[in-house]
Amino acid sequence: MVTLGFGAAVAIAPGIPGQQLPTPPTEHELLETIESLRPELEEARRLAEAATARRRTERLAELAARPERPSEWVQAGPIWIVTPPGTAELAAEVFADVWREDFAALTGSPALDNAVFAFQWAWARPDPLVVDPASAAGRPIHRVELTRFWVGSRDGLRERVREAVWSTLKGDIAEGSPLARWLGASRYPSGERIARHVALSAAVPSRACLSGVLTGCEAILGLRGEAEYARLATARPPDAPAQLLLQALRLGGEGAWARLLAMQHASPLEALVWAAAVDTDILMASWRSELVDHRPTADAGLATTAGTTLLWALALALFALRSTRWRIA
Amino acid sequence: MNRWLMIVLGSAAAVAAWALPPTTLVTPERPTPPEEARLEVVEREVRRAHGLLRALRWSDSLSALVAAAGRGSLVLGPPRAPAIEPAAIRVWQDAERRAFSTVEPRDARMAVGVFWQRFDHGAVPGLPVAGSGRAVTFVGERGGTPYCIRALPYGERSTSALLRFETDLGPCRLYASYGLPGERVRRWLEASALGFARTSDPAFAAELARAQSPEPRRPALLGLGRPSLPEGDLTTQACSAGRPSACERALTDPELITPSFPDEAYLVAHSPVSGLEDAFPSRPFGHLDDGLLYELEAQFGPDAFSRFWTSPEEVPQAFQAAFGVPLGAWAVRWVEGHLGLYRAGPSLPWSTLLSSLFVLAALAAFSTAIAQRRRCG
Repeated sequence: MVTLGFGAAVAIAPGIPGQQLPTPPTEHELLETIESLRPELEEARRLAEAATARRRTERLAELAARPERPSEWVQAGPIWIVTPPGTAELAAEVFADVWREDFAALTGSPALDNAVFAFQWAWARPDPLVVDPASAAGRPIHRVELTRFWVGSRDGLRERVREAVWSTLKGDIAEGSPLARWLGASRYPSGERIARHVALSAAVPSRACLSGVLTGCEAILGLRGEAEYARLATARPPDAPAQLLLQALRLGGEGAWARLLAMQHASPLEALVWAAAVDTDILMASWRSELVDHRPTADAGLATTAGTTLLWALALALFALRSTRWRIA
Repeated sequence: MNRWLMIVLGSAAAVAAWALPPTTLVTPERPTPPEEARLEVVEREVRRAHGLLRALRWSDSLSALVAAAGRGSLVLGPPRAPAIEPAAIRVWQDAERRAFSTVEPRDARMAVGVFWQRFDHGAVPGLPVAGSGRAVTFVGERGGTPYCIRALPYGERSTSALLRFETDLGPCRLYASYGLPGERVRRWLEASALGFARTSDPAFAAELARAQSPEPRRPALLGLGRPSLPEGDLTTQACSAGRPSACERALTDPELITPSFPDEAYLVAHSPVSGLEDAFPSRPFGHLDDGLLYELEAQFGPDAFSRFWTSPEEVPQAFQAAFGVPLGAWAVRWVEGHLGLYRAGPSLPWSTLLSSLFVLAALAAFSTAIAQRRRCG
């Protein structure tokens, strides 16, 4: 282990009167320090990598020593899932629900057709499912392997599955294309979260969009050129592009995904309009109505608090009225 | 009697089990293997030395450029990336020149530089570097020319969109106006208080803050009480509850305003870097205080602000002397204006207490009235 006097050499003690400040290191000294550390760093990296590889090998050997766990293949829409036998029915149900509710309008996705989802939902942290390479035929495996401790409900499961399918779908869009840049790191959208973000934003386009001005909606979605895109970055709800894209696909129906991919090198708005096969205004109005549908309900918390208080008071009053020694008078 | 007592105790236990939070979840911590621990230590030393080296090189070369341009000048260094269009660069340069020419008042000696620097410029290839990707500010004096320099990082794949965020000189606008600050104010600024001058556009700061924490505040019962405490450290919470001493500490204590990433705190403390912009600021009020110094300037006027800026005293004393109000008291009003004041402490809000007592008294009167009318036999 190297012990460096370097840190101490530059330690400055501001604000202590009369104390001699150490001279800060020069560029030459810093370069010397860095170069002297380079072999040490390379050696430390090599040892850490070797240790990681050793642990991985031990883990694989440990897994291989266990009795082989059989797996089953099930299909939901175009999605292939591999799962332990006990969860095959659940996997088929959850993936089918997600497919039907969220992605049914979407057909012909090369990434999704080619993908395999390894699905597990267990009480203890599951070991990674070993997928037979011959069965997978070189297809990429997307893992949805969850513990009930962290994901306790079927709704939670659906959410994770939805996110996994959405990430896979995005694989169809060429990296660096205008559409990919516009989508950014959008996750599967939550209507409530987006509506709350827009409702709370003080930006003029957000207010305009809520009051029905569609160009305002275009602006906060980043569809009015790069200058607006950057200027309104903070007003833009993070996953709103994904919401608009899915809306366009729902409007476009059969073949919408293929149309979108064919236009992905055009501007995002052109690609979306082409995929949705409607006018820009109809597309934006449709997104806006979804936004408005998800507006949060204003709740001051009055009903719950006052209701609970009243219930308790009534219950106590009821006891007080009964013929017991607690009765008043 | 015993039966009733058992029922009451049983109900209380059930309510407690239902309402009290569960015990803290403790996940078993994986012990760090010795190889990884060693790598971490060596990497940290390299990162820090490398960060210092890069900061030193940037500071040297950029200050030389600004000093060569002379006192009172503005020097701009545009980015050079394939996806950044010349038109966008022209728009950015015009905006910066406009911002500089409209600085009022103006210290005629102060030179300002705004440079886009490739994030790996001046770095040793293949080695990790502290503070990479962060905008930095250098303040100092070279060849008799006092300067403030903003160095903004970009990469090979940066696009024109990057330029749109940087149009108001950032903290350098204050230096251009008031020159170099007094010694103790300088130390405060360099301990990360420069983040209080990140932008002169308060609407932008508010928008950033809102994007950081979009949850709405819930009003209390009947709208009479004050909402519960926001998250944050105890000092921030006490400040949000309207305690001036806590507010003063929240804005001045180096422990609270220094970057939370140890590498960045190290860089700020030991290199020529005077300010390092943090994407997730560790300052108590996050992005909300990004324009705090500009708000002060707008509220009290340039003369008072200049007195504060150039004061040789400690920040709280300088503040009171310049603005005629204690820092803590002003900060309480500032917090109240931006967030509203919160209620601190374990007691019930008065509104809840009074309304509960009222309901209980009304029901007691009601039940007494019924009981008095009842006649036995």
